[in-house]
Order: sequence, then C-alpha cells, then structure tokens
Amino acid sequence: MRVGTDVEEQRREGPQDTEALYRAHAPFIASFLRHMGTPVSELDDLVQEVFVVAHRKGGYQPGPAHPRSWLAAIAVRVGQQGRRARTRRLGANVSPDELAAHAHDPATTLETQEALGRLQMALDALPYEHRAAFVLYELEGEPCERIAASLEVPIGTVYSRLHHARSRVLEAYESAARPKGPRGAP
Amino acid sequence: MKPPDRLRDDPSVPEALRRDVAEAQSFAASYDALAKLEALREALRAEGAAGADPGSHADSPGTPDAGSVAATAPLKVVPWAWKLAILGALAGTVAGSVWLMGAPEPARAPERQATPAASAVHASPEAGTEQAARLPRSTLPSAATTPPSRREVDLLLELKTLLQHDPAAAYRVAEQLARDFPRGALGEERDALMVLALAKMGRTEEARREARRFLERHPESTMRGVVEGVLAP
Repeated sequence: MRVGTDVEEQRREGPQDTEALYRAHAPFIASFLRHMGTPVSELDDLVQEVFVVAHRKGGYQPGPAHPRSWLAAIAVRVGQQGRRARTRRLGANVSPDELAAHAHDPATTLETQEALGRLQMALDALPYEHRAAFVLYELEGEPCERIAASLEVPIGTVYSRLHHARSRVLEAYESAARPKGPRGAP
Repeated sequence: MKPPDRLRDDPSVPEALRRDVAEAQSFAASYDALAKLEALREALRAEGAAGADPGSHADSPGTPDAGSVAATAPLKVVPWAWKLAILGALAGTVAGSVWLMGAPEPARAPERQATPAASAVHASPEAGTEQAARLPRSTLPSAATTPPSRREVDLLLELKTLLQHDPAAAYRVAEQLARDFPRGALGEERDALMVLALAKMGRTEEARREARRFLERHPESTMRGVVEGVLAP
C-alpha cells in the first residue's frame, strides 16, 4: 500500500531538476552519508557528487523508486567509492578513531557529535550493505519497502540485514556499558 | 515478515542507544544545504561545459529576475530541464510534440497541431498576436526541437517554489509564464501547476474547470496524476 501511495505521490510531484532535488533532499543525503561514515571534511564534496551523478543519469523520473530512495542508491555507491579512496589515502589499517578525527564539525552540537561518534563506532563494524539498511531505517526513518527499492534487494534481505545490524549495534552498546555495570552486566 | 520496531521506539533497547539514535537523527537539520548550492551549480556548469547541449541559451532575455529563487541558476540547468521536459513529453508518446509546442485552447486535434497560431492556455487574448512578434526565438514553432530558455526554466522553478506557501504569487508567475512563453517548451507543466495554484487559492470551480481542460488537452500527461487530484471529491 505504501509503495503505491509513494508512486502516486511521485507522479503528482512530476519530474524534478537537479537543483530542486538538491533543495529537497540534500540534508537527507548529507545525513545519510555522514551516518555511513563519511568524514565531515569530505561531506560537502560527496553530497555534491551524489547530485552530479544524479544529473548525469538524466535526473529523477517519477516511477517505482521514491526520489529519496533513488538518491540514496546513488549515495551508497558514492559513499562506497569515497570510503575506498579514503582507505587508499590513509592506508588499509585506518581505524574508526582516525576517521573520527576528520569528523569535527562546528555546526554540529557536542551532543550530536558524541552520539554520532558512539554510533559510528558501532556502525563501522558492520558490512557496508548492512550499515546502509540500518542507517536508512533507524536513522533516516525510511520504510523497508523503499530501502529494498533503493538497494535493489528483496525486502526479506532488508529485514535480515536490519536484524543483523541491529544485533551488532546492540552488542556494541551493551559491551560498552558492561564495565559500568548497569545494563550489560551479566 | 514484519519490519522490526525501530530502535528509538523500542523500550527494550538500552537508553543510551535510543538517545544516540535520536540525537543522530538531528544531523540532517543541521546541514545547511543552501549554503552549498552555488558550489553545486558550479559543478553542474562544469558538467555542462563538458558536453551538454548549449541549446538556445542565447535566446534567453537574460534580464535579472528580482523575485526568482532560481534567478542565479546557471545556464547549465537548462539542458537538464529540457531533457526532463522531453522525457516527460515522450512518456505521452504522440502527445509529446504538442506538449512541447504549448497547448492551444479547447478542442483540437492534438497530434496534428503544429500551426504557428497555437496559443498558450492561459495567455491573454492578445498574446497570440502581439506577443508573437516579440517572442524569443526559442518559443516560436521551431521551439518544438529546441530547449526552453533559461528564463522559462527559472520562472517555472519559482512557480513550483511559490506554490508551497504562496499560491496567489505562484498563480501570478504562471500567468507571467503564459504571457512571456505562450508556446513555451514547459507549457504543460506550467498549466498543471496553475491548476494547483487555483486549487490552493480556494478558487475551486476554476481549478476544476481548468483541470478538466488540461486533462482533455493532455490525456497522456505525466502531470495527469497531480491534476486529477484537484478533481477528486
């Protein structure tokens, strides 16, 4: 039902040019890329790259994929390329801490930076595809149907990736809390 | 199989994780996309320079558009919008060429229409004659094979933006588009948005009337869904 509604919404929306797409969805793409591990220092470049790629592809056309999902699919690839380039540049053994060192953004509150840092640590341990599903569902609020469409996988695969990612993130938090006692203590 | 509960809403999830998820969700709100818009325009401009069809940009009046949110949009945007327009039109197959020519008033044989006398839907009565003399080249009949001018694209973007919060202003921009580009390449989208503006202004009867006319003229329009929404009870 939701997907049908989305398609109808998109038809109402009509074709969108790059600038309109950017105005509407750049914050979402920035947030998605950030949660996918893109350092703040590279964020603007990768956000721009997503929209340049969207532009090259001839732009968004109303159809089964929602504009956000369509852009997220591009962002997954752009983010992955960015990560490979970063790994090459910094060396294969770059740690999440080193990546976090790129993450200072004066526009982001301390609380958000801390939250991003803790989550980032947990998410960094996930396979990229699992992380994408987790970020889209848990942080960006995308429904599973759209995530399946954007990642071009069956919805069952999305559920499975979410389940796996969620377990790993929970483990990470419980493990971090364990030394202090309260929740993670056996 | 059902989707899992979201972590944020699951009371069995450690409070620290739920709090971090909620905090991380605020990141999008802190991203100032508009501050980086000009950089994107530059990049798109560079893309265009690398191979985009320059189209008929020279036709653009090039006059400053004080009220337009997209007034500074680079020419680069034009081939892009044009491509969309063509794809949208082609989605309607045979209606495509008519769409590109702008839609003349009431009943006519769409596929055969190709006469210079075609006038814009909402153009003032004199527009067909007086304005034809001063039409930019891109809006003359040959416009069916040329992209819209930058100004037409700019005005259409402004119309779409205004529609969100100021339908009366949006309607005025649509009228201006109809006056300046009676056979503009983006005429179909303009007319659809004009219907929406009327509806949002509460001019329900006019909106419904124009919606019916639009659907008659553009039965295969990619904007059909949005216009049909106005006719819904």
